[in-house]
Amino acid sequence: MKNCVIVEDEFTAQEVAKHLAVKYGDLNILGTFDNAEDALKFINKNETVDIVFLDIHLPDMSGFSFLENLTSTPKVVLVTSDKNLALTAYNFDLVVDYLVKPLQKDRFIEAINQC
Amino acid sequence: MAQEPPFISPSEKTYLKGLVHLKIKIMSEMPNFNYIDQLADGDEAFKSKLLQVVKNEFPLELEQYHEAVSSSDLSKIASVVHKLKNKISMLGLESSYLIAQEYEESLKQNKTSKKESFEEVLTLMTDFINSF
Amino acid sequence: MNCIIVDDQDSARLVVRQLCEGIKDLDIIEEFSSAIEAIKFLNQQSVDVIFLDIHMPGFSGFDFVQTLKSAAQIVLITADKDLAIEAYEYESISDYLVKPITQERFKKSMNKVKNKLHRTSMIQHGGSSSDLIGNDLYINIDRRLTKLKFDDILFIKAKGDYIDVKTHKEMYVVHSTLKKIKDKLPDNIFLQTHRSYIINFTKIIDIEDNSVLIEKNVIPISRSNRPELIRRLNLL
Repeated sequence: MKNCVIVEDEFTAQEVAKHLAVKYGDLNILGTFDNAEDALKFINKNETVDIVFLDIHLPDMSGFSFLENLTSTPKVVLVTSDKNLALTAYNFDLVVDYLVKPLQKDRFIEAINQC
Repeated sequence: MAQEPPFISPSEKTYLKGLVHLKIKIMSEMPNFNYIDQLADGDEAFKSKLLQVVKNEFPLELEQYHEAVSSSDLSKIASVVHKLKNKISMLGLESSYLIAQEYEESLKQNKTSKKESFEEVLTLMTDFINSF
Repeated sequence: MNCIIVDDQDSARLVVRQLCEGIKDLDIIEEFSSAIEAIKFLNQQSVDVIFLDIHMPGFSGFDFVQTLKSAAQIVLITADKDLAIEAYEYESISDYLVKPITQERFKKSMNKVKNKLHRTSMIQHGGSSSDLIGNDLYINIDRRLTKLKFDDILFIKAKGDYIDVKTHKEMYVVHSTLKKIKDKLPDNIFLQTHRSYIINFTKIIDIEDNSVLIEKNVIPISRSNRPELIRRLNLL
């Protein structure tokens, strides 16, 4: 079973991601964070995190800044309401997929299979 | 400009009570559980939990929106509108989502086009969320 | 690692060629100024990477990617900034580079591609067909017969005119349809769980309402196939 972390400041979106991760992704959720700083502290200390579901619009920094400050190397699935950042996403090696909210079951499974 | 009664079904009337007739003309779509039901796929526990989270969170975001509007900080408003987009689409409001998108784009360009339409969407959502 | 360049503009192909010069162990096999020529070539020969311009006269960019009968990774090279979001919908697209491309960005792209190549251990193919002999499946790869024990196969996924056959260590891309290979697999071990998936039933580690877990792979179960899966489980 793979481990994942969810970084998302909208609680509704957190619930959706948690549901999909557990029910369809068969993932173990190690933590859920609503800001980048706490998430970084946790993930950088935890080499067992396999996948990070990351929102790009976080209150304290952008998801891309988060990636620049990430020292661990989990696979990253970006989850966002913004359709315009896909080009930037391709610049980051850890990013395996880019999902536009609201999350859809089938597309979510495809993303996990890239991990 | 009042909407003629025959065009509103009894259930729509109940749901839309309190709204002015003008809104009914503009809003051709109604909030629904289509996305949420598909996501839950029979898991009633999850559906209840999700609706509870929406019910708790939406009023806070609504407040953030009004505070941002009072502050006249357009980038702050854009940020809240961006966040609200997810709930708009989760409640099946596809045209309203486009309105929110347009409003967000215009805010980024220092304008406020579609502000009124967006705020009507918020009212529509408030009524729906209060009903569950 | 070998590659081809597909771009209608001579100058653009020259630039990509130049960028490739700066990368160790990257060989350009051919260049094409049209998609049709490229497809003809790819039907005969396999490559690791395809550098592709998504905007070429008389050709539908992403449709081409979708119908491509090749296991190659695609690196899009384009002047268009706005198609990245659509590019993410295609598993075969590994990177999206906007012109003008720097050598640094290109290097980064090639590292990504190299890593992906090693991870999936794909065996390139030029052949087709598979045969059932005893308890083993023989698949034809690069005109060589490779033997796969049924017990080694975890699952098979449909991909257009091809199928991905996943074993514990490898992923074989075979020119066959799911239907064709299904006929060759024993019913008591293999089960179709979804329009695009056949699984080795004995390899299931965990089951959810809508998916099964096979090693680290999440395989969906469609509603119509669920009853059969449940029936099999009850027989255990």
